[in-house]
Amino acid sequence: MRGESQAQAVEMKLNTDMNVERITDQIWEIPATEKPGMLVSARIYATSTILQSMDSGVFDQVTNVACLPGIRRYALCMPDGHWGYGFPIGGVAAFDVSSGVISPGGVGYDVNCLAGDAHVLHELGYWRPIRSFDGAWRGERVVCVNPAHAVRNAEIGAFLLKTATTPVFRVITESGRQIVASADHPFLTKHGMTPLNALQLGDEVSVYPFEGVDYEPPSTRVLLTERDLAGIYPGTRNGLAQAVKALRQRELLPLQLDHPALPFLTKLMGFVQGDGCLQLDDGGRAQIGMYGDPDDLESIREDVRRIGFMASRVYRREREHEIHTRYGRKRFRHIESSVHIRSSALALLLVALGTTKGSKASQDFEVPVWLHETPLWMRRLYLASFFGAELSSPATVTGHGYNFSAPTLSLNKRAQAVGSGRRFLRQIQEWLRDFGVESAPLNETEDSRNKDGSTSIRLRLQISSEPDNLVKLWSRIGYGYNRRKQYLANVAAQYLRLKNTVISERAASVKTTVVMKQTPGTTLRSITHAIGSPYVNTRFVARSLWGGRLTDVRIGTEFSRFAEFVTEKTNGLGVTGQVWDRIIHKEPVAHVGPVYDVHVLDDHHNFIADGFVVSNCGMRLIRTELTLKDVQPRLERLMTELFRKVPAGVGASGFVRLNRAALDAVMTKGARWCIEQGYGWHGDLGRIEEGGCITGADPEKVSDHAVSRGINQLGTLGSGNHYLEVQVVSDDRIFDRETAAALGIIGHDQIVVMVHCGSRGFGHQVATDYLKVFEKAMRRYGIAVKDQQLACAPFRSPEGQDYFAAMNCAANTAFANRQVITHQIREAFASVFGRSAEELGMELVYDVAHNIAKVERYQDGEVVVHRKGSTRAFGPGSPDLPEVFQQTGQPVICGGSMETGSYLLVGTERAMQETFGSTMHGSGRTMSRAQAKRSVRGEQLQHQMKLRGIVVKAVSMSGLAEEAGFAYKNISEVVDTVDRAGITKKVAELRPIGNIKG
Amino acid sequence: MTYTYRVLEDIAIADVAFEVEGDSVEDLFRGATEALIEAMANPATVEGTWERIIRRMDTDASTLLFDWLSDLVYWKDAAGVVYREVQLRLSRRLDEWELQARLSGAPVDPSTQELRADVKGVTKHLYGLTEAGGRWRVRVVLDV
Repeated sequence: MRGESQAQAVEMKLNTDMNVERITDQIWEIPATEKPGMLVSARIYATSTILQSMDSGVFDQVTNVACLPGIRRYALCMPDGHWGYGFPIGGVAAFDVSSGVISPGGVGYDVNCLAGDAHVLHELGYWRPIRSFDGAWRGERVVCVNPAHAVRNAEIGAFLLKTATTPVFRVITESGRQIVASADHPFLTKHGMTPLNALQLGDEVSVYPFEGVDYEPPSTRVLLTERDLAGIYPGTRNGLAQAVKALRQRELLPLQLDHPALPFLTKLMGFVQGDGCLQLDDGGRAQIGMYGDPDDLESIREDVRRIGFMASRVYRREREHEIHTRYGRKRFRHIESSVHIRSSALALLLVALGTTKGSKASQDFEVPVWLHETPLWMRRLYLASFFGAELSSPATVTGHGYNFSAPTLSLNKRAQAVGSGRRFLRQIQEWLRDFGVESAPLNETEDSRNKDGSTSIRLRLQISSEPDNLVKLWSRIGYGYNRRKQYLANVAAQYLRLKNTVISERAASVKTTVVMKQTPGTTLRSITHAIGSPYVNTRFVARSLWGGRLTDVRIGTEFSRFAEFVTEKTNGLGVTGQVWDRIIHKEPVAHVGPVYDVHVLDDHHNFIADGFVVSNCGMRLIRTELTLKDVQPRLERLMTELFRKVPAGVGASGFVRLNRAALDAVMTKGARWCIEQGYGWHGDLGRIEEGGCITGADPEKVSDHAVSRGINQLGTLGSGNHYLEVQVVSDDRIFDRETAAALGIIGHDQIVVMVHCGSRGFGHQVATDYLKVFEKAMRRYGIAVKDQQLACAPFRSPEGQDYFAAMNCAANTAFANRQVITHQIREAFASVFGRSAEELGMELVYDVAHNIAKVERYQDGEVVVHRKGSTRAFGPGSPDLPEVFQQTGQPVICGGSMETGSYLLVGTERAMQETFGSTMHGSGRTMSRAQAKRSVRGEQLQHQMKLRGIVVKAVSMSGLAEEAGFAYKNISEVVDTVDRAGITKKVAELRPIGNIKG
Repeated sequence: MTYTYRVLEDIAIADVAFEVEGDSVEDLFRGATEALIEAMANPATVEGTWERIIRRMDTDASTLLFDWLSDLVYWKDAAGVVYREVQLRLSRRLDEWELQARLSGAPVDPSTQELRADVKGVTKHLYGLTEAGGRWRVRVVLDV
């Protein structure tokens, strides 16, 4: 009968006009004839009481699902069902893999249920204290050295912070470098990565002499808008519109000074101004050409790609050149390598930022005006790239071998533009002074006569060759897009530093010598021994005493020439720019505060800190289990510690910080990644659905948008109905003692911890992204749905497979999230109870998903089972269950409200037969959030619960009020329904004593 | 120019739904924006130390609003912020709507801010922009 059940036609009133027929006391069916388009009937698992309380959305949505292509048997809804997005919450549906669909609405957005002053060298040439990366290193890349091959930039994979548990040392090297590190921190030596506590005085460690400058955040001022481009574009209005559109699509307009692409644009500008050329003709056609070494051009290509454009491959061709100079006609041949970019949008952008268009020799140009207001490190990028193209390479004075020539910058200008050339070089000089680098007044000579008879003037800027000046030039600015020059600059800077150390030591020894000699009986040998420097021998001491030397101390002849130094001190380090430096001092220091490390995604796992090439530190794990008697006296402290360790609520971010590449690893490996990182025990994996890692995840199918939302949320609870709960299992609430014992539940007021959370914003964004894809795909495949949120695509279609791969990424991330939270819980317990997690027996009972789509096999064949707010419940003997659950069936964890408690159940064979191995997941709401907040205040509820022995910590009091127990169904009734229906068996009831909410 | 919004309790008991009415499409955008940022945190408790300029265009105002509200949720997670205020301007050029907005907020700080729901996303459930009798209306359901 309409709106009424068959069995209780008079008493029951349902929130639907559709006919609902009773199959059993726990199963109700809406026939396929009740709604046009239904391919199968809909079945709801519920008691009559629960059925009457279900909102109209349940009936509407479960019958909409029944209309989806390829659906098998029934569209199902569990007794905790309520209105959802497309699928009802509590919904289960299986689709044939060949003819059926996959739908984000059937998966949901919340995947899975159950829970210091070392300076690091950034790729953009600035140093930051390692602690500054805390919370601020998403997407950051640091300089990473592969000992024998190349310097490259690697993304930071994780950021670690911990209390120092080993001694801390200060190390000083021969060239004067210092670093403070823990004893277990490895350094790169000739024998590989070696912990500090194994290093002796005299051992050599690898250092990277380039220092860069300090980091300073740029302002947020808008630098360029569309209006600025309109004024300079030479082509048509349509061409301008297309260029603007291309820039907007890449989020480059409006362009702010803190835009992440701006540093790369600056680098490119500097290089183009030197060894490049930019053409943008009246038709709007563009060509940007850059010339250099093939490896350097590959770096340029990579940077172009990072700002969203594409450069050609590296072209090589043999060229013959002839120029006329004051020394005569010069002809030469060489292999010219180049890359080219034909994007009008990029060319327009570079011109707008101040890059010269066309011939640089004949036009006026200056350094880009806006760069004057940027931090030093940004100006460094422009200078370094320009120097990489135009500044001479470090080289010793011919025939000398110890001193360096003055680095020279040459600029050729036609006579009519020489004034601007002088201004440009003076601006460069001014910027050099900002780095502490001095140069000589400009020099000009007439250089060559051009074909049209005009004269070219060569302007020269010479940088002072005074050693300290050169060290500043090469270690603070260096060369961009020129590995060879940068390598030489690194080694030269180290050479000069060492020379300076030697000279300083010898100068100091002179004074010591003079003083010591005043003591009668003091010999040359005893003075030399007392000075104890490898650079001060008896001959030097003698000359200091009797040669009248008080000034003009020099290095001795035993000091290597630069060429020899290069060979000796870079042996085994290739042309990476690393140099061996000897440890001359090592002392323990008292260290207060945490120690830090970053994990970089590079095969050699190293990065540059304080100039030293160092590696990652290892991780440790902790776990615990207790009874109510043990916990009660410390419950408040335990909940405080858990609240501290497990971030929750709006904007919560975890202690494990990832970048894209590391998140890719999380997406593909799930909980396994955590175990590899040390956030858990190997035994945990056997107690997680699918071993905590679903195969088929493909991070390439996940948008950057989704990544940005989730990348720093690993190890956090969200808010809403997500929680962490400490519970107690009493003997009188165990329904199946044998099964409970097999799962590690022994009663006697045993304490357990439950976590309910998923992949947070990340999973939601994946679903949202693909809903848009599917909305378009459905038209192509001729699929119509009754609800936008049921947007879907054939499972085997490219769109369907892409979504499946992305969804598996979200599923794995959620497994990883609960794994990290488990790790934090174990730590909190260990801290409060003073025993290790192993001693406290804190093993995982199980971890299971309740928003997911999986490919499984039933009597219908292979199907894609969608579980939307419903849980997998495989029965005993299921081949997909590990050995430990073969007798019991798979554990099922169902969460109630924070006031009423939760349940542990197991799956059954009947679930395999009837509901595609599925059951309920929780109790479901009966009251709106707003109404709950009107009924009780959060503070009031917290107090009431405390009086009942439940300690609640919440980030949001309004959020807490929304989660009041009276807003939820009675979980016991819901659980009894599935138990009586035979699709799941009750094992134990779990009563809350502590709760963390976001 | 005015707008009003109200929470809809009956259609999304597990989440947050609201309906906005405004005299113009721009008012509607302002109202929906205010309702969303209020759902996440009390703006009066948030400083204005973080800023972002957003610009979006679309031929369809309904799609533009959905994407714009999604942007607010996105930046909440990507930048770890909640909002103090949002200044926006909506204009129409030929057949395109153009939104320019300045977001002002601060990094999440539970010790000083009144935090509310961690909105996971804007859904398309019952979503739609309509106009009747000179009043514009939109219904939005947020997944929390």
